[in-house]
Amino acid sequence: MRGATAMTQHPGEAGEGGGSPSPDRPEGRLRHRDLWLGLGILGTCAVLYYQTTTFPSVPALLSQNVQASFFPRVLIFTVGFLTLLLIAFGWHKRPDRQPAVKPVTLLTAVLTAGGIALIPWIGVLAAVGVLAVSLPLLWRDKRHAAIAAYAVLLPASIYLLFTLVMQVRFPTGLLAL
Amino acid sequence: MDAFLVAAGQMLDPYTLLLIAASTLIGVLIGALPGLSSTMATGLLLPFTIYLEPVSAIAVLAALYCGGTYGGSITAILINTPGAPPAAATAFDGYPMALRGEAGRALGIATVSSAIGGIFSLVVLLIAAPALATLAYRFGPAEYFALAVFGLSMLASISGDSAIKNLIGGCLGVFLSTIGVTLTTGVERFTFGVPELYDGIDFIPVLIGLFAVSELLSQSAKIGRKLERLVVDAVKLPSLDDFKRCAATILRSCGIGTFIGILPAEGGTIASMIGYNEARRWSKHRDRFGTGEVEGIAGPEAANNAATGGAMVPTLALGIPGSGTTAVILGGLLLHGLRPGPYLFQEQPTLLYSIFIAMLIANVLFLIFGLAGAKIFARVSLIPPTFLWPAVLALCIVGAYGVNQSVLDIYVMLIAGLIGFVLRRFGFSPAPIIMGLVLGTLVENSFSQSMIIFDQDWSQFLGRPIATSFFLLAAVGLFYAPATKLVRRRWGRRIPAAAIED
Repeated sequence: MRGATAMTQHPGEAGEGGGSPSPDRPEGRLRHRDLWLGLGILGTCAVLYYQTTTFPSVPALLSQNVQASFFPRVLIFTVGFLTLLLIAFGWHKRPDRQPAVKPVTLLTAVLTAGGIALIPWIGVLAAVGVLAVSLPLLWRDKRHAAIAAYAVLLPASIYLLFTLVMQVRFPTGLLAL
Repeated sequence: MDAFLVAAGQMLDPYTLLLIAASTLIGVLIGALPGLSSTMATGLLLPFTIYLEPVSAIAVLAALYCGGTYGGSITAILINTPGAPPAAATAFDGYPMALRGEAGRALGIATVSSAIGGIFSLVVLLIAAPALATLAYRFGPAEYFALAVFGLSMLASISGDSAIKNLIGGCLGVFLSTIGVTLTTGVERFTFGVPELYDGIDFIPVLIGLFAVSELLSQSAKIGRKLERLVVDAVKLPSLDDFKRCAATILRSCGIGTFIGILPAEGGTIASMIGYNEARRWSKHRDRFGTGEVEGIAGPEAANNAATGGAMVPTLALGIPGSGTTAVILGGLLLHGLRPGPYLFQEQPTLLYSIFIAMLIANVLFLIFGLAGAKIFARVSLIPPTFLWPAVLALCIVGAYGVNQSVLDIYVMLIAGLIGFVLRRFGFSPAPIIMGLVLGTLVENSFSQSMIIFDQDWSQFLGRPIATSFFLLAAVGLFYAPATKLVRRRWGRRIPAAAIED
């Protein structure tokens, strides 16, 4: 059963980190699991609650006594309550040991965001081509000829399947000029 | 009977048959790719189903679900890396058996058990869905609200790091559904002056971002790693002896998987884990589990595929998804203007039969594909991840854009992906957020309607027996696990450890 439970965890997810403190961390410096996460969620709840106070009030007849802010507030209070439980259950428990985010992950995120940000200027197909070149190079794939061919074939396949067959018109950006 | 014949005629139409076959194949291939699950397969291809007739579109999604659930077992057995979480338990005995040079036998058992589990659950779907729908005729807004609360409470026990985080994720999903202009009052909520948000956040870009883009970022750190792949001998049918040994396990897992699948929010992962544990518990060779035991493959595989038909029961009859993938299928039904619930069977009498037949065909097809072509499917693990993931990202972009032909949806997908990645690192699972988002409108509308009917008196919820039953079930779902843990912790000091294990 223990093995089974361990295998259910998804890659990147940490297991329960409770229990005794790690040998390299003295007892006196024991931290609280999910404390900062909880405080972050509570802060977000506070901001969202403030947002609900800015919703205009509607006459009772029109709103049928249920104002637009009512349901979001119920949710905010529920999340707040659950977050307090999260903090309480993680009290005096060792925080999960998460490996630091690797530079390659950050660069993948930046490249992905950059490629998508280019869409208004170069269009979807060219942006896909850019991503098809840049991501394999970032991941240190050295088959340059194959990457070049892939960068042409991937947008071409999308054009063939989606534009010609399914009639999806993608934005072309400045390339249309 | 007429409805069944009409549905059979629709599904056996060569074009639809081809769509189902292609979807099953794509599902198996995607399911076999580590990191890509049936949920992602249905999520990525959902936007493209808008070009199909509603019934064909749902048949495609259902076939992807069946194929994807089975496909995960291939890489679980061959490279000890489950293609999808429901196949995790299959690796415990599948991989050791493959290491012994019996990969073909292991794949054969997995394929046959999966097909039996899938087909069994479809029979249950055919009987249980209309029965449940008949019960749902008595539901008013209060009952639907209580049912949705029950569905969300079940998120506490789905796989992930923490029950509380799953519940917070579910609430976050419901919260996302409140963005936009309210229908009753016309008040803008959380739009921050962006006109494109007046209609709310579309479910599909969020789904694609949370599942696919966040997975891309999670996988990016591992993309350079090489996986050791075992050579597959001929894939063969289980021998008579294998069948005799596994028959009871398969039958038990069929029941477990279907039952777990019917429970809202519970999916194949839990079903397969319980299927594995029960197979071990009842086995005469329990000490050999983990070393390549056939029952250790048959148990989880029959269970996770049985969960597919089971999960469709609450999805179709009540509009409450039975699993992460059925949450996507529910989104597909809504996308095509089909409102799940009791009236669905009245308005679309052929739909249930169409889904039954499509899933039946998918199960038969993956049985054939699996026995004939597992060696070929195993080769998908040879696709370089450096080429695979840009293609997945391209599909994400095209899929997010495709539904509304809006670039804003691509940005929403990207933001959802980045948030999803951060949330995963903090132990949140994407499935509860999606379920919350899908159920959000139902929760708010039924809640608001109830409050109007009850004249703002909350206590009147308790005057409705069905609603009260769902609230009680929700309370049991929420407090059962912590209460059991507490009792075990107290009694664990007095009971020997071995007794607790069994």
